[in-house]
Amino acid sequence: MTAFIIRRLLIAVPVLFLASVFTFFLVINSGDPLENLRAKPGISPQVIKNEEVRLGLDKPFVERYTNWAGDFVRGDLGTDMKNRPVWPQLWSAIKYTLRLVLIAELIAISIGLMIGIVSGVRQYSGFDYSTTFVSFLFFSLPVFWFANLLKVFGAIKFNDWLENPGISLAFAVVITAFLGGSFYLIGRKRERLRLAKPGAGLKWGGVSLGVTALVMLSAFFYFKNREYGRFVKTLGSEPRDLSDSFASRLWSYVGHGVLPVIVLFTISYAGYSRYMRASMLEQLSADHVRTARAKGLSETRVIMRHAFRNALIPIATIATLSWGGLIAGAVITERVFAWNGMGDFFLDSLSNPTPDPNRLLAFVMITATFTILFNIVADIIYAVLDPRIRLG
Amino acid sequence: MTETLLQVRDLAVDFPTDDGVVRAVRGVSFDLRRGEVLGIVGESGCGKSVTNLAIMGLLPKTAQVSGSVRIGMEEIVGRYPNEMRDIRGKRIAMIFQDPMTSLNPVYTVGWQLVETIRAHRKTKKAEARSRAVDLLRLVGIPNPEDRFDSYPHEFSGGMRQRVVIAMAIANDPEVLIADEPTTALDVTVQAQILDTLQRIRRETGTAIIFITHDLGVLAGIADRLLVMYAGRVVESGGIEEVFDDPQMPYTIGLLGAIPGEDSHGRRLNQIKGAPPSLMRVQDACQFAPRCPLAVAACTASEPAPVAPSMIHGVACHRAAEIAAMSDKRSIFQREEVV
Ligand SMILES: Nc1ncnc2c1ncn2[C@@H]1O[C@H](COP(=O)(O)OP(=O)(O)O)[C@@H](O)[C@H]1O
Ligand SMILES: [Mg+2]
Repeated sequence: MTAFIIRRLLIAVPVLFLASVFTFFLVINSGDPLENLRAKPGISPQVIKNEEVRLGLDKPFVERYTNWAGDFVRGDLGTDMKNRPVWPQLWSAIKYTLRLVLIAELIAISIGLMIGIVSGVRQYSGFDYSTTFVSFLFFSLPVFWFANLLKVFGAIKFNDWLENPGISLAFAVVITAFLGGSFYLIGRKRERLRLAKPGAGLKWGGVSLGVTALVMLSAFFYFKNREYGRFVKTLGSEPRDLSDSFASRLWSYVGHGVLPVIVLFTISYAGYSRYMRASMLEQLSADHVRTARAKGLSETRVIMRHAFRNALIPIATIATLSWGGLIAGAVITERVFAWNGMGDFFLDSLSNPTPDPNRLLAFVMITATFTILFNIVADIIYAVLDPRIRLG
Repeated sequence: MTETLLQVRDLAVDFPTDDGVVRAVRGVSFDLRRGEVLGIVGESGCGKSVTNLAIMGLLPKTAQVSGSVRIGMEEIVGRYPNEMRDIRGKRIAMIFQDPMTSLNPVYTVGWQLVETIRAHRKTKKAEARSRAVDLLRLVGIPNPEDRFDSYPHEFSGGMRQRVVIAMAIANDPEVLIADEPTTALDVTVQAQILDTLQRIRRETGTAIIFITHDLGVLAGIADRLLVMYAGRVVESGGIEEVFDDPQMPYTIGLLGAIPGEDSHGRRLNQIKGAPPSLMRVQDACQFAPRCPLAVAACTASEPAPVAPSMIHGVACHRAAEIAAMSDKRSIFQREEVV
């Protein structure tokens, strides 16, 4: 295990080296960083000369690269065009991105796996068809459009409602009837398929009707004459006033995070649920699962301890590999909701107003490192989950 | 007469598919008595596995099962899946064909054995463990203490099949169904597995249904024989009666395919052609197109199914004539090898 990790880390060195040379070459040739300065009227040649020396523009490629690489190896990411150190900016961007992406991914994985398991177990059921439909819908949503739609309906309209909340009796009745009816139909269907005891339709329908009616009724009275602030935020990542109480700051964090998390969730969820479904289907028809049933295990145990446990092996690999790329940020989402994360950092470095070599290099190196690390982690998880795999 | 453990009556299994209904099993009836070994033989696709999966309640949800299967007093057909739990693995256990895939690769064999034991009996972990080691020893795994913590991929095919057998007998089932347990194994390993099954039968008294497409395998182990063709039982009886006095041309053909002393220097006689499609089943003897003795009556109606009460039953319109024949094997042509 240790030998494996050491070897993989050693292999990472030439990979990072090549990545940095390549990026350096591209960045250096992607435009003149002093273009704007030169175009300014009344700038003395001496000023421009000084800037060229500071940025190393007067030196040849190899020398510039070795200077940068020497600093990098010592842990110094240098300064940006405006002479500010790169690392603090990068670190802050990483924190924002991780906060957003980690939460969204964790939710997407948990819900995606659960939905995937159930739709695999109940292949071709109504549940399976509807979740498949939702997955493909999410999959094909244009992020930019969806994010802006969320701003309108998830934030502005919802906040309007929160300022004067209340539900109408008609709404309560429709929802109650809908839920009660659906559960009645589901119960009947399961009776017919002999998955539930006779009478399940009436029982389920009745119970869900009762519960929903109760919830709706209490909501009806609860929302009367109340008022909440404009809770869901459309821009920024944190409360402006840090002197507020802890609870209200926490709520503010939630209000800022909720929409971008929803957007990122929809992007990832579809993939996880589809992979999980496919993997479950494969396992459920496997011989060893039939053996497990033949042994007289409970269906829950067959599904969780045998089918799901084995179906997890490919999923863990896929998930870990995709996590390696997440640090690169969610460019569109961060832009739309004005989060200063990695995606934003990258866009800024590309054209602010000209490419910023040190920032870009720092970005590439950190994402490459993460990708490599998560590849190693993926292999380790794979070996942990599957005893047939030996690390070596 | 000894007590009947398992009673199968008019068992039929249909699979609706996009191309039509596959009638995999059509009216199979038989009895299994305590301690007996019943061989079920027939070509691939004749419904042996489907019959036995129906007994286990392990058919896919699409399968339509009718008829009756009783273990003791309990009816199995029509049970809810969760009501099959106290029967599966406890009263009836099953061994499958491919030992390479029938164990879960991510758990140790010991874990899988303990799980099986504890599925049916409240047992302490340590107790279950020692029982598991005993079982591994019983099925002939060397150093069972050490092998307890090995994963399936660390075993050979034959050893894995022994583990599968150990799991099947873990809860002292009354009936053990072995579905072609040796088909995927080398000949030498086959013989060892057969030995192991024999020994288990002697030591535990379990009744065994032994499924195979190879009549030769049954000679040493079965007490009674059920010959299946195209989803039906076409001949049944004590192994000696059927071997010495086969009365259904299909059985005669199968027997002719076993190499014997007199077959030296000759080509084995074989049944020509392929089994019929189970999608469009005609009211006729299903074997008629391949039968050298077929007459008009054979294509006019299907012979009545074999009644389980008969000591030697045959589903053939010409059974009486065949019984009177002297050299039955000659009905299939034999080619001399030049
Ligand atoms: N799930 C299924 N759907 C449709 N047809 C099936 C299914 N399972 C088995 N069959 C058909 O039933 C017939 C009997 O199969 P089986 O019992 O497995 O044969 P065997 O005697 O070789 O064990 C075959 O023709 C097979 O194609
Ligand atoms: Mg079979």
